[in-house]
Amino acid sequence: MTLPKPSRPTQLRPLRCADVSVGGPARLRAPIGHRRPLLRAAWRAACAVGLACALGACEATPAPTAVTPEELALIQSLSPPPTIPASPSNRYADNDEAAALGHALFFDTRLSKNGKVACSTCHVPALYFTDGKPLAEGIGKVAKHSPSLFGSHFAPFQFWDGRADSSWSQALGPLEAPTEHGLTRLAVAHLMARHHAEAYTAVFGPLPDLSDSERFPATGRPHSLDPAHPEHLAWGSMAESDRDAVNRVFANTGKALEAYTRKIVPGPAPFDAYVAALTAGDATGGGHMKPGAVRGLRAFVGDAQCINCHNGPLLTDFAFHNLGLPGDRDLGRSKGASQVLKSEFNCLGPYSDADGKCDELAYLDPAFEDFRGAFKTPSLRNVARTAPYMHAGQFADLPAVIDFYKSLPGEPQIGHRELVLSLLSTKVATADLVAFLESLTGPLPDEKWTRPPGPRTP
Amino acid sequence: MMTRSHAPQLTRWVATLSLLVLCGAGCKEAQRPAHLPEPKAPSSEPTTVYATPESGRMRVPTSDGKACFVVGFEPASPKVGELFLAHTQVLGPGCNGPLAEAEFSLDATMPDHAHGMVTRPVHEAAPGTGNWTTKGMKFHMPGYWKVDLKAGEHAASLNWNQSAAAQ
Ligand code: HEC
Ligand code: HEC
Ligand SMILES: [Cu+2]
Repeated sequence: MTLPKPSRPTQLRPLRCADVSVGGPARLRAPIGHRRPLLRAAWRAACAVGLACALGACEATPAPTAVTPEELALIQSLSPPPTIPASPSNRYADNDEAAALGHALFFDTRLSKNGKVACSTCHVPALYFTDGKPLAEGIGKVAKHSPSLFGSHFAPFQFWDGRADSSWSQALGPLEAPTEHGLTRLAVAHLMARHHAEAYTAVFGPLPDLSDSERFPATGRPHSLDPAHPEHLAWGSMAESDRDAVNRVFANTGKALEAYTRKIVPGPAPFDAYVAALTAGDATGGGHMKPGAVRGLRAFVGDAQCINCHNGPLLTDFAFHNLGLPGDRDLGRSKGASQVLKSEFNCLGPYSDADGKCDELAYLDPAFEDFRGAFKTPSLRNVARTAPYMHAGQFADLPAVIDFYKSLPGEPQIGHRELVLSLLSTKVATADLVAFLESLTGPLPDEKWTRPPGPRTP
Repeated sequence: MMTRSHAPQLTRWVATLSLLVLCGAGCKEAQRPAHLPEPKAPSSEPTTVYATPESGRMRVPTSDGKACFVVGFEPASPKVGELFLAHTQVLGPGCNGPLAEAEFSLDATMPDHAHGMVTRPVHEAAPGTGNWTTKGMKFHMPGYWKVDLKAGEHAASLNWNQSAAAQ
């Protein structure tokens, strides 16, 4: 173990002779001082003559050590998985009928330009709502990797760059992205009227009458950067009140999708059972984690400093960091922060139900210096099931991620690598960290939500 | 003067910190925890006070003794990444009586990481009282944060150790 640098107060205090328990399997044990006094005396003596506990020697003999109170507090702060927070900007977030409609929409390929793409194309339930590909593929190739949906509702900002501030406004993004569903908000409104009118009306009230194709063209949306775009022109030709009516149907579509995706929340993993046992006073953690995984956990909260960013019970700070990943020229959070402030579907916008209570948005500083090239820290719950990794699928597996933290190769092309990220010591075994990450796999949601709902109504 | 409470284990994450005594005007200088950097504090510079998450309201006198800030966070132990409020009373010499300065600022940085906050906090005064509420504070990382306080001519700062375990 290395001594903490003075500037890293989150580190655990260094290993002390008094912490070291002797022999036995690599399990967490009560501090030696609480155990046999004779052994303790012997150990102290050994320390005194410097036989065992010169720092180097402690490193060489990886005897299991007892968990310190500070370490225990950090470990406990990672568990159990929390309950889902309210979604103040969506008053339908916990509405059962809205969830049923969202469930249908999530699997409905008719909601795409080519009739082949649904949310579930890229968020495959069996793959913990990812797609197994480095970069997502919908109608075209997407520049980003599909993140898991587990835990996304706990984040104040959605997407890798946080350009949405709710799950419902996030869901509107893929619908209008040319490479994903390839639709426009007008096309979505028409599809909702054609295929989901009954369920929509039951939740949100009657749909506007979209039958006049002069007033409501088949497709259209704003393209602020391309004012000559036919979709932009079609959208601009509409009366403002008609545009508002279409925006509202579009926003409600997102709100139904959010009501469904709120069913996708992380459940207890072996790690949580381990922490519960530890908390109850069982120093073995109930045997819920193998010795390697325990070593990985202790590195995670200790020397490896992963907890600087992967903290809290979802193992993410939901903040944005520039790791300086290979091959990237994306502005990341600095672009996403200004986009979310401008979005008409944000928490302060006319389609939000938050009554202006939007503190995350109100105090956000889009000019924060380290936002350049920064991306959101992903939750590590279920991470062993969601390869490949990072915002552009840069790494195929978990050992490759750990190797990256051990080498931090190259310099970022945008911004600078954050100072909080220090090189991971090669003394931390990759296999141990991976074993710990594997202990974070919990169950999929109830099968009711992971398969498509009953047969479609034509 | 605040007393140290027996805070839950969660917040007692660096044992050395709990030894600290926060210093009102006239009392002995607070002991600097070993892991925090030497404050650059010649007498003209603002004084620095080291805070603990369990210390509740914190007294921060300026080095010239002409003013004093009493700061408290709400919640008292903010969680990493969550918005919180800072309540500050600006007081006169000896930490006595309100000092209703027209200008006030409270800003936080992580000197080790060379960055500030991801938010732009807003300061609201209760007119004439010297009491300020700062909204939109966020410590988005665990570690050492330096909180700089200014009211008119007066300046002082507070060192805060944000624990990853304060969840
Ligand atoms: C073509 C593949 C694809 C489709 C289809 C797709 N997504 Fe995604 N999804 C992605 C990608 C890629 C990202 C990350 C994009 C980014 O951050 O720029 C993402 C991000 C998300 C996120 C944000 C997660 C987080 O933690 O920030 C949610 C929630 C989500 N999608 C839900 C949906 C829903 C609901 C639909 C259907 C309306 C959908 N997705 C359709 C690929 C897809
Ligand atoms: C400076 C903050 C920071 C630290 C420290 C940190 N991470 Fe990360 N981690 C991130 C961010 C940010 C990402 C996503 C980066 C991206 O895609 O651009 C990430 C991604 C990951 C991923 C991929 C997850 C996914 O779904 O793609 C894993 C696994 C991971 N980190 C594990 C670790 C481990 C293990 C450590 C300790 C050795 C660690 N991290 C330390 C911020 C951090
Ligand atoms: Cu920092």
